[in-house]
Order: sequence, then structure tokens, then C-alpha cells
Amino acid sequence: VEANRPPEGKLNPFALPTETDARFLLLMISALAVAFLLSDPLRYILDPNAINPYAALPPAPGDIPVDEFFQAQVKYGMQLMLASISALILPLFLIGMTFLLAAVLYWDHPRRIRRRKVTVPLSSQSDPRFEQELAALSTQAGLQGLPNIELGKNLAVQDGQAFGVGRKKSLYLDGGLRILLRKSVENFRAIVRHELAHIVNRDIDKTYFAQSLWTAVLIVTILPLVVLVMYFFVSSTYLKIVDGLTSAELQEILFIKFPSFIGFVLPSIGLIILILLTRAGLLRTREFYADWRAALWGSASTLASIFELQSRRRKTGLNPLRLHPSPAERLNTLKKPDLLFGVSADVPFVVGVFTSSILNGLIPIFLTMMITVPPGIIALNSSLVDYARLHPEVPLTFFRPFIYGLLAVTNLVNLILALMPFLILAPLAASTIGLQVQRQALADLAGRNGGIRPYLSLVVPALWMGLGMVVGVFLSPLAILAPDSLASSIFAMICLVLFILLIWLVLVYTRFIGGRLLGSHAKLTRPDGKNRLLSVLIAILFFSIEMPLVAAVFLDKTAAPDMLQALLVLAALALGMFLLIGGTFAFHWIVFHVYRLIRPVKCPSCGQISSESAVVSRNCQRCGKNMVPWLYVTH
Amino acid sequence: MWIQTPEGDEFVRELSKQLVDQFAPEELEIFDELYSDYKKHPTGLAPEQGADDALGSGLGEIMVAITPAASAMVTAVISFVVSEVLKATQDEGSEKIKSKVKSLFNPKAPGKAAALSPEQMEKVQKLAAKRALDFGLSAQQAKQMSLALVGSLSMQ
Repeated sequence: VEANRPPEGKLNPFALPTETDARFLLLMISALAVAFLLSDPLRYILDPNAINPYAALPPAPGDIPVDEFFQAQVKYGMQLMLASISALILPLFLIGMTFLLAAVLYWDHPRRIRRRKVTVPLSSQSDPRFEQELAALSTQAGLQGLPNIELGKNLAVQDGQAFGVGRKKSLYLDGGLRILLRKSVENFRAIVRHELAHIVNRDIDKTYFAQSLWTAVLIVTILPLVVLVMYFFVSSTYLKIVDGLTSAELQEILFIKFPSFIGFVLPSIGLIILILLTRAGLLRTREFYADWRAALWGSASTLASIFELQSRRRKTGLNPLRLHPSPAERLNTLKKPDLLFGVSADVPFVVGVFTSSILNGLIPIFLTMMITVPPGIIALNSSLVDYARLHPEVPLTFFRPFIYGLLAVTNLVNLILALMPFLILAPLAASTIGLQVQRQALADLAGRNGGIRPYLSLVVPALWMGLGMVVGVFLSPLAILAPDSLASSIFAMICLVLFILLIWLVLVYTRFIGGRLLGSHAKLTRPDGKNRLLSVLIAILFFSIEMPLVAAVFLDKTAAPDMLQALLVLAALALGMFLLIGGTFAFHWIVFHVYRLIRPVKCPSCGQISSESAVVSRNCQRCGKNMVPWLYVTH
Repeated sequence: MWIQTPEGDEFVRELSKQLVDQFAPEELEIFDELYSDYKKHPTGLAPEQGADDALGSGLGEIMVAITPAASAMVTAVISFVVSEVLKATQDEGSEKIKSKVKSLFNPKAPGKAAALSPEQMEKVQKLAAKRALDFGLSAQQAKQMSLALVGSLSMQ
């Protein structure tokens, strides 16, 4: 009975890492992908002659004499490389500019906040009591010294803001906090602890850099492109209207130019709105974690009473762009940390959208790089072969290692470049939606919510991710993955259904293995190692799904093969993926059981071997203590 | 108007401080700063809803300071009393009016000033309570403080 009694306390929101870190990374990588994607049309607009960098290339070496073959091969490779480099110059330049501007905006954000808030640095001894209290709270938060304190002049408000660059961060505190310290020291501590929690939770760099990066993308690529496109559309249309429109010109404007213009502007606007919504959603989640950190430092009841009072005082309407949750939501999450262990709809959707938009941006980058780097290596190789041919006195064994080595390097570079977008995206998907499923599995174990139903309900996040992928394809300006014919649309739809099904299976795997692996972690410390191992395994599965399916959609669109042939290849791929997931599932289940036979679960307090392997929400059968103390907090 | 002179301001300040001492003694430590802040914003600031800045607390105003409300109440009450005294004693000099106003708030003042009528008292209490509400105090706090302020007048 004692062992079956649920442990005391609430779920510890910091028991596993949060998925928000990976979501920040997705937000940043997607900024670069969009910047690259948009730089290509800018190149066309700025230099119409550079429309096709490969136009001036000689034909590839064909049936030419051996004497000339290798020279022609070298020339062709070098020209191909130079043409690709020329196509990369502007995008790389713009990405460089974007990074530079983002860095400047990021480094400058403390100055902008100080100027906007009209702050004054807290001078030593101006308010010793205030200073002492802040120093004590910083020490409690585990910070090395007091952050830079910037005071606001408004004595009527008691807000704060964390910011800063480098190791030593800054805290803006409203002048009203000095009054609050005198009137209600616990309220004062709650606010300051919340701000210190943003520093300790490492929110500052991610928040301000992601914001700076997207602002830079907007300034460097999106706005110039929108302005240029509008200018060309309006000026050309206006001139035609002034000169008198012919019927053909009117048709061209109505059915070609205008739809193209709208087709470019609307996705750009949609993308910007989505970025703002994503950023707001991310920051709202980070607020819950900051509240919880402050609660663990001793401000739980004070924060709860503040939120309660504020939720009564002001009714907040639905505003998805708000950066803070409503007081009622904050109170609810403080009371029920299980809410931070659920699988939400927005995370898989956002992951899907960014996966698509990043693929849309990264695939052209890596394709261009594939045309840039390997031809150079092949040219070098050809010249080596030619040299060997012209110098028979040098033994061929001397050249062979170099030639084979270069060919291996070429293949390796090609392989890395082809896999790179997926090598970036799969771990991010595993660290977002995969992590959420791991957290949910733990919370369900704690709440003893078992059965088949939670597994079936994982189809919902899989559907959201699939929907996000579709939205992401169409929101990406110049959607290269978007189907352009009926046949490719049907093929893409089949791929999407398959994708959703496979993602669901991966999530089922994550819940099943995650629950067993993490749920048997009877230690005092967090299961960081097991969590990382799981994330790697899930990333491999995500990679195994995303890469072949996206490649299938892309190749189907570009090569337009026979439909039946394409479907057969897809069926073979699907079979392979089902076998892979099933095999992984069975293999890991066996490995887990063997592992637990060798290393049975022991109570972290008294060392008693447990008769059960899933010990979440269980107490030790001998000493009665919590078997998984890392998962619970008491405050 | 006399209340805007340094002497009048000092009078308002002293009376406000007495009220703060009674209702929020913890604010006395920073009374001077709060009083100067009130002088810069004598009409009161709109209640803050929380700035919603990234990585802010998002909570805005958690607790209302008493000092600006007390100062606003005292200013309103003195202005009212001055106008009432002016109406009653139109032929008297400003020095005399000033001392009458001061004596109304000072139980130890020599000479007996004309006390306000019950209707005037009620009016001044409502006026003070309204100013307190303008500065974000609760209805209960506003009532208590306005009664205490009017009480200091009715002590005469």
C-alpha cells in the first residue's frame, strides 16, 4: 500500500529539458533559409543578365578524343564551379549581411532598452536595502554577483525586464519596485525572482538573437524584395495603362502578373505573421518556466496570489501575439505543472512549417554547393589522371591513392551536402515534438494514465505536423517543393499520408521506449544521459522518414517519372521504413529488457531492488521513499 | 493660487506626510521621491496593464503607492477649503485667509477658525475619496483615508 501511494509533490517542470530551445533554433535556421531563398529572385532583379549562370558553359565532354578529354573535363569542371560560385555570391553576401546586421541589432539591444525605458544605473549606496535584497536574491539564484541593475523612473509600476549581452546580464527594474520592497517584500521577491529566472533559464541570448535575426532578414531581404516586386509590378502596369491597354496586355496583367504578384506577397505576409505567432508562443512558454523557477526559489504562493488578483482585476482577451500568458493561465500552470508535460498542437504544427520552409531554403543552398564543390574536385582529379597519362615514367601506383582519395572525397562531400538539411532538421524535430512526447509519457506514468488511448491520440500531433509541412511549403516564397502538376500533387498527397502515418509510429515508439527508459530511472539526478540517447534514436528515425520522402517529392517534381513507376518506388520505400521502425522497436524493447535484467531498478535511497521496472509514481517497497525524486518538487 | 506657492506646497506636503504616516508608514522612507513624482504627474497615471515586453514580468502594477493618492487628496481638499473660505471672507486679506486655512487643519492653532458645515464636510470627503480612486486605491482605502482627512478638519 505504501509503495502504491503516489509520491508527494508536483511534477518538476525541469525534470527534462524543454522543447523551446530547439524551437528557438528552428526559428533561427528558418530565418537563414528564407534569406537564402529570397536572395535568388533578388539576384534576378538586380542583374537580369545573370539569370542562368550555366548558360555559357560548354557541353559536357562526350565523344571526344582521349587526348582532349581530360583537358575538356578540367575546363568543364572549373567552369561549372565558377558558375555555381557566381550563383552563390549574392545569396552568401546577403546571408553575411543578415548575420552582420543581426549581430549589430543583438549587441545594441541593451542600449535600445535603456533608451526606451529611460533607465538609470543603480548607484551604489543610493538605496542600500534595495541593493542588499537584490544581492541576496541573485546569490539564491546561483548567479556570480549581482546583474547590472537599471532603474526606471516610473514609481507607479513594478515591472522588470531581463536583457544583456555577454556573461553579465542586466535587469531593468521599475522604480515602483523600490516601493514594493517596502510595502510587500514577498511581492518584490516574486517579481525579481521571475526576472532572475529568465537569466538562469538562459532565455536572454536566444530571445534577443532570434528577434534580431528575423528583423535582419526582414530588412536585408524580405522588404527590399517586396518593394522591388511591387515597384516592377506597379511601374510596368502603370506604363501599359498610360499607353493604352490592349486586350492581350490586360489578360497578361490579370492572369499572369497579378496572380504572380499576389502569389509572392501573400506567402511572405503569411510567413511574417507565422514567425510573430511562433515567437509569441515560444516566449509565453518561457514565461511559465520562469514562473516555475521563481516558485521553486520560494515565491510560489506569492506568485499565485498575484496572478489570482490580476486575473480577477483584468480579463485578458485572446491575443495570440501577446508575449505573456494571461494571469489565469499562469496561475493554472503554477498549480498544475502537468500542463507543461503535454503535447500541444502548436509545437508539431510549427515544427512542420519550419521543416518545410527550411527544406525549401536549404535544398537550393546544398544543391548549389553540390554543383560548386564536387566539380572542382573532379577537375583536380581529371588533371591528375591526365598528368599520369602524359607521364608514363611515373608509376601509376603513385597516383592511384590520390585519384581514389579525391573520388572518395567527392562522393563524401556530395553525400554530406545531400543529407545536410535532414541532419539539421531531424535532431530539431526530435528535440521538439519528440521531447514533448517523452515528457507526456512521464506525466502519464505519474498520473497512472495508461492504456492504448494515449498511443492512439498521438495521431493528432502527427496530423498537425503533416498539416504544418503543407502550410510551410506554401508559405515559403518560391516554394520549390510545392507540386506543380496534378500527377505530382497526387504523389505529394500520398507521401503526406505516409509521412503522417510514419511520424505517428515514431511518436508511438518514443512514448513506449521513452516511458520505459525514463520511467525506470530510479536516481536522485535527472536522466540527462537517457534523454540524450532517446533524442538521438528519435532523430535517426525522423531522419529515416524525412529524407527519403522529401527526396521522393522533390525528384518526382523535377524528374516527372512515370506515375506507376514512382508509386512502386514509394511503396518499396514505405516498406523499408515500416521495417526499419518495427525492427528498431523490437530491437530496443529486447535491449531494454536485457539491460534491466543485468541492471535491475534499485531504490535511490536504500538500494532495495524493485520488483517493477516502471517506478514513476511508486515508492520504495522497503523504505517507502519516492523512487524517482528527480521528477517531483515540493514547494 | 496660494496652494501653488512654495509655502502652500510645503503645507500640502506636510499634511500628505501625516496621512501617509497614518496609512502607509513604510512609504515614509521614500516619501520625498514619491511626492516629487506626484508633482510631475498630479493627475495620476492610468493603471498599468503590464508592458508585455519580451522577458518582462508582464504583471505591471501590483501594488498602488499611497503617497501620490494622499498628496492628491490633500491638494483637492485644500483647494476646496481655500475656495470655501474665500467665498465666506471676501473682504479679508490673503494673509488672513491663509492662516484661516492653516488653522482649519491644525488643532493646536491659536484662534478659532470657522469650521465647515456638515454639507461641506460631506462634499469634501467625497471629493477626497474620488481623488484616491483616481490614483488607483481601492474603494475601502479611499473611504478610510478620506474620512481620516476630513476628520482632521472636523477636529476643530
